[in-house]
Amino acid sequence: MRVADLAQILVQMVTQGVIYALLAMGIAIVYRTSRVLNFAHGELMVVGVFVFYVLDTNPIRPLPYPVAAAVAIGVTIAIGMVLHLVAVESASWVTAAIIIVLVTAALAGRSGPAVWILGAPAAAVAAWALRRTSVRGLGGSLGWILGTIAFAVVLQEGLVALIGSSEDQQLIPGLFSSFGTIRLGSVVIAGEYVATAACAIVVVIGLDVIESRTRFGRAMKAVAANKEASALMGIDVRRVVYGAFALAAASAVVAGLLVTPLTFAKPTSGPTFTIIALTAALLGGIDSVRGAALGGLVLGALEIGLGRLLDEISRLGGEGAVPLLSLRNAIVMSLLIALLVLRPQGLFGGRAVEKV
Amino acid sequence: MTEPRHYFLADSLVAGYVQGVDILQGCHIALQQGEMVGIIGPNGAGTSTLLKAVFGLVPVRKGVVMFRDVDVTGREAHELVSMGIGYVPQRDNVFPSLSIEENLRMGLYLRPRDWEQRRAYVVSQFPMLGARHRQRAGSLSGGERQLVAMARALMMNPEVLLLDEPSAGLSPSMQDEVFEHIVRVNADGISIVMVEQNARRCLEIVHRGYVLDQGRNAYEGTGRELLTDPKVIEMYLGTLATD
Ligand SMILES: Nc1ncnc2c1ncn2[C@@H]1O[C@H](COP(=O)(O)OP(=O)(O)OP(=O)(O)O)[C@@H](O)[C@H]1O
Ligand SMILES: [Mg+2]
Repeated sequence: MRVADLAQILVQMVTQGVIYALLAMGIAIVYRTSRVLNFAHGELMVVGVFVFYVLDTNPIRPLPYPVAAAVAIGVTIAIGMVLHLVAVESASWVTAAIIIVLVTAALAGRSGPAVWILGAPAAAVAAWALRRTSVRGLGGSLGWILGTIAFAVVLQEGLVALIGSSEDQQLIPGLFSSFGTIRLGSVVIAGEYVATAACAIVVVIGLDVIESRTRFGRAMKAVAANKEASALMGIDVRRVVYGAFALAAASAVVAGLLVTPLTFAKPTSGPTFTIIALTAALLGGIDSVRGAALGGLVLGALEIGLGRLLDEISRLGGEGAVPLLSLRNAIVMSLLIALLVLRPQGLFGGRAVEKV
Repeated sequence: MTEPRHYFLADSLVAGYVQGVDILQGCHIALQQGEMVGIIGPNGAGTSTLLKAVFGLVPVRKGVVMFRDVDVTGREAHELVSMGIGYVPQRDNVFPSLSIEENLRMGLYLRPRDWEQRRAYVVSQFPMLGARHRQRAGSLSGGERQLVAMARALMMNPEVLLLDEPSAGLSPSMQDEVFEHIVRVNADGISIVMVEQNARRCLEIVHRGYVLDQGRNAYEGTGRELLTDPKVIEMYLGTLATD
């Protein structure tokens, strides 16, 4: 491997690391305020990206990049809030059942957009009605686990129905796609990666400032520590939780808009990104936004670095050697499990979760 | 008969945690402006539940809560805070992971601009808070924590303060200090509803008191009347008085 390659690899490690950090922060922001692991986080990202894609590239009336991106973020924020209303706040056996029935129907027939255009609002209305009639929610965490997973499936299937086959890879236009290479002596790196990483770093810092310096951030901190006590401070806990879901949804779309121009996107990419986001957050410490961000950085860099290393090793074996790259995810997961046994609060999480 | 103006009133309250189980079975308390009212009762009488129901933390099934002639039944806690009612719960009344100063800042969440002025007032009332503002609330003694919790509620400059067992678990000398603070806060014009297990001490400082039993009003009167009422003495003061 040449030094020149190394520079490009390092840049890729940082880029993927910062984007994973953004995804993991979304998970932590939601978890801290609501104690919910959002199993639909990746789908929010993918839906946002495809809303952008359709607005920006449709032949009828393509919108300029910033407008399309802003609308995509707005739409996804709205979906994130509906997610909280339907899948968390109103989660009940009946809601879950309705969503699951819809999902199975669609999976069975792949019956086109009609099911979704009618079905999704129907599920939302049903959930709302259930809340009104105060059917008790599911006890404990079963409600939101089923709720967010079902919502994820609904989003994904909806997208497949509207966009087309799940295997269609789309090249998403990137803000920096036209950037050339940067040449420093013999070292050549892709400008697109550098710009993407820089942009993601700005957003990560922005999120951290919101979380640690603003009034809304203080409210999130209070709600994370103790919901009831927060209400006594005059904090509208429900609004803060909705705000957290909105912020997480927005950050997911930004991550998506940054990463998909580098990697292609499919309507079915959601679960992959959900797993990445959850893994990164758990790795760093799900109860701390900064911890989760660092977890993302480590996971993203590790994946790229390990991938290249395994590549190089198999290459040493010459033609016909076993490709080791397929071991990458297994190695990463084993490391995560080992870590969580040794340090359940994650690499950078505070001491054991604070009981208040 | 003309209706009196309701400053603060909870009337015929029925409330509970679990469907079908009413902990409060028609409680009544009234508070005049500037007054300090005590609520006493045996363990489990529902005194904490009464404050929580008034404060929108337990669903009210029947009855009304009025504040300044406005029906505030079922309003959420954060709305009541912004209306000028403060509440210091029996437990979990500070953020232990935050410093004293951060706790006070949280108390002023709705009006961060008044920070300097409110901080000065609260520190003048509780000098210990100024000297130790960096200390984590979780590392304070029970009494100190109680003072932080009270100071935090005072940050919003409330008109009415609901206190749940401010002396619970404190040493006698610390209890004295806490009660002195409460009397001083009341003298500053803040109306107070205080729940206490320490019935004798409570009735000695309040203007009026209510005795609750199994979710119902059992007796009411001025502090002095209740202190000298043979039935109250027999049932609540004889055994509950500690000193
Ligand atoms: N969160 C809760 N869920 C269900 N039941 C509760 C809850 N909190 C209190 N109770 C019940 O309500 C009744 C009254 O409780 P409450 O806390 O109001 O008593 P209290 O008068 O404040 O007693 P203490 O003097 O011990 O604080 C008790 O029987 C208690 O078991
Ligand atoms: Mg109590």
